[in-house]
Amino acid sequence: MSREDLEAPSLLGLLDLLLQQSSVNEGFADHIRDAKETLESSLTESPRSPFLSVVMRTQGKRIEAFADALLCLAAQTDSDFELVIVMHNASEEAFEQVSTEVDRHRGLLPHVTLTRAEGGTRARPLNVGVELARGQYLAFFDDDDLLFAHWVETFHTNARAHPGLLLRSVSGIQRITPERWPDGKDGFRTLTWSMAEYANEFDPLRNYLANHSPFMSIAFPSALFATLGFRFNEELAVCEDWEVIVRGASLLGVRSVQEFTSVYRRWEDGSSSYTEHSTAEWTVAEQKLLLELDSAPTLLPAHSVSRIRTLVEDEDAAVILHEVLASKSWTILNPVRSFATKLRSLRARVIARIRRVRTR
Amino acid sequence: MATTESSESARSLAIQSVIYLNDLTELQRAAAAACISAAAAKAAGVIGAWTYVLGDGSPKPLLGTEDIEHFASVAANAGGSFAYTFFGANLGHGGGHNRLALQGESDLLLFLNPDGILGPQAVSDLATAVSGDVGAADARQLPIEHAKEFDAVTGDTSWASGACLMTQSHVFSLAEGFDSETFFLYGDDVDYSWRVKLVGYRVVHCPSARLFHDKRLTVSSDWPATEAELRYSAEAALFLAHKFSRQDVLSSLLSTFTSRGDAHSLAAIETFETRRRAGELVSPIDPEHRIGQFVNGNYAIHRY
Repeated sequence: MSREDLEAPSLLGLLDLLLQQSSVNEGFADHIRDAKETLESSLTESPRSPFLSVVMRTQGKRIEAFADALLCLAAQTDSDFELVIVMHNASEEAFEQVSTEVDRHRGLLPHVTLTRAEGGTRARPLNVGVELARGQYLAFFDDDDLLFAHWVETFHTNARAHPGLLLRSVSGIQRITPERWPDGKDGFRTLTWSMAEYANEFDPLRNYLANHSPFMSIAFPSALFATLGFRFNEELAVCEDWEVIVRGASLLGVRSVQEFTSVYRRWEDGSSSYTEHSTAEWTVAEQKLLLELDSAPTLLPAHSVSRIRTLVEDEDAAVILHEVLASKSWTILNPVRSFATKLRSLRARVIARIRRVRTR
Repeated sequence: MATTESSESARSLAIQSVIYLNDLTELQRAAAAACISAAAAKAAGVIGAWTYVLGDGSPKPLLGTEDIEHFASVAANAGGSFAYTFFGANLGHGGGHNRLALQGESDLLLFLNPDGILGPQAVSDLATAVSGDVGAADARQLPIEHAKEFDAVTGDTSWASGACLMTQSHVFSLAEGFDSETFFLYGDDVDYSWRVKLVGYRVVHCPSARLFHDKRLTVSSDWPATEAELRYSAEAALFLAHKFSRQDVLSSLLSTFTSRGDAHSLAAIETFETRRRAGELVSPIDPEHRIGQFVNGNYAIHRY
């Protein structure tokens, strides 16, 4: 199975499949062709400028990490992007601090929009950002993460080569902890190297088990939002990114790019999405998300049938194994197996003893 | 080179970068960022007059007349000045900075990688840190932060990285600048930091000062070291061990490099032994091992 096959846009593939039926109703086929052309043109012929809209949500609570994030954007080798910063439920003081930091970077980051969003969950500022974004692709970069200089460039190069797909580059994870810096600022201390803990390749099936793609590792074609009407689920307290990644990947396919371009910084103490939301909230959100995903049909890339067959065969094998282990014959023979194991161990020790004696 | 301290509020600054066949666009981006940072520091009253200086060790001048005018205009628009010196020879990192420092009279010197993007507050934060008994300070690098330990309260650290290092000019004079005779590309910042301490000043890390240094990792998050990094860092390790009177470390390194047997290690041994035979090695200092730190192949305790 080639990577290209796995990455084929599933929705366009499905429409092609319908059109290829020899007895398809012509009237129906005309509608399908119209839909396909509309989607294709919005995915591949978009004249939208700039190339990338970077949506950043912030509450202004970690101003030093936010300054890191801005400098990472300012240092990009490809400047064909805009930055849309959405302050969520921010106090006036936090808004002032963020505005000041943005103004300090204006000379390096000229295309910045700063706006506010009130109420709702973590999805609300993302949706506000989506409405304001003008780019051909959208990426979501949280206010405390890091980018390498070729983050935008990597997406741009691959968007030209593989238009219309979600683009996924490699991310690392780095642990940090809050710390007051010597000059009195509320900073942090980096505790670990940026480790490559996430899979390099996007796996559509594994991604249903857990989200293996940090948010900023993905660039989404704007057509996902502008044409297909996607928005982030404001009913979810967390996991809002996971849902759009899973559904977007299902409809449009994913191109995995082998470049390490970003670092997700995980706070060991202090405020983050992990600490602000309880384990129960994460569990509830995950269950809610899975219910939603389960309530609708899912498109999988070509060759997924073979993969699913293998998984089901493995599941059957696991059932058989469980039955064997629970069977009466297996239980009755337990002492015999135990005796045989001890006998093998004794034999090995005797042989070792004989060898030691011979070499003296 | 200035030899006296001016009043803290109006200290002048020279931002120095040594270039060698660099990409001009990269240089322009770095210059723009440095000038913005210097302008912010001046506006805040942290520094007074400032100049942005490029020292060119390329075989031919990298900057033409128009380029020089461009850099001069960027600096002037930000309230500073610009100077360009073509060395006519590759003086290396330390040698280039020594030459540029001799040409100026600033109270503060900022040694800056020519492709580094300085954060807008970096000059202010470094200049604030580098005063009194603090002889030198370095910035925090992004996106790959250096792992060397620093004191959370005082900022004290073993050494300051030359990628973005600010020092008081009179301390630079007192410590006799970079040892360009011994170190070519790497290790001169470690050596300078330790000699700053030997003349009685502190070296601190300033995490709020940022430098974006375009370094990249492989997909398995490994550091893809360049040929120059491998060769000159191996060489620097030998010279540092010798210079800071750590015969035990030197012997261990020579043994390790010999058994490793790769081209970089063998070339480093060859350079070291050639100089030793010629009697060209610098006399060892820090005989009581008060300053130099050699910890698991590093020059500081590392956090990770």
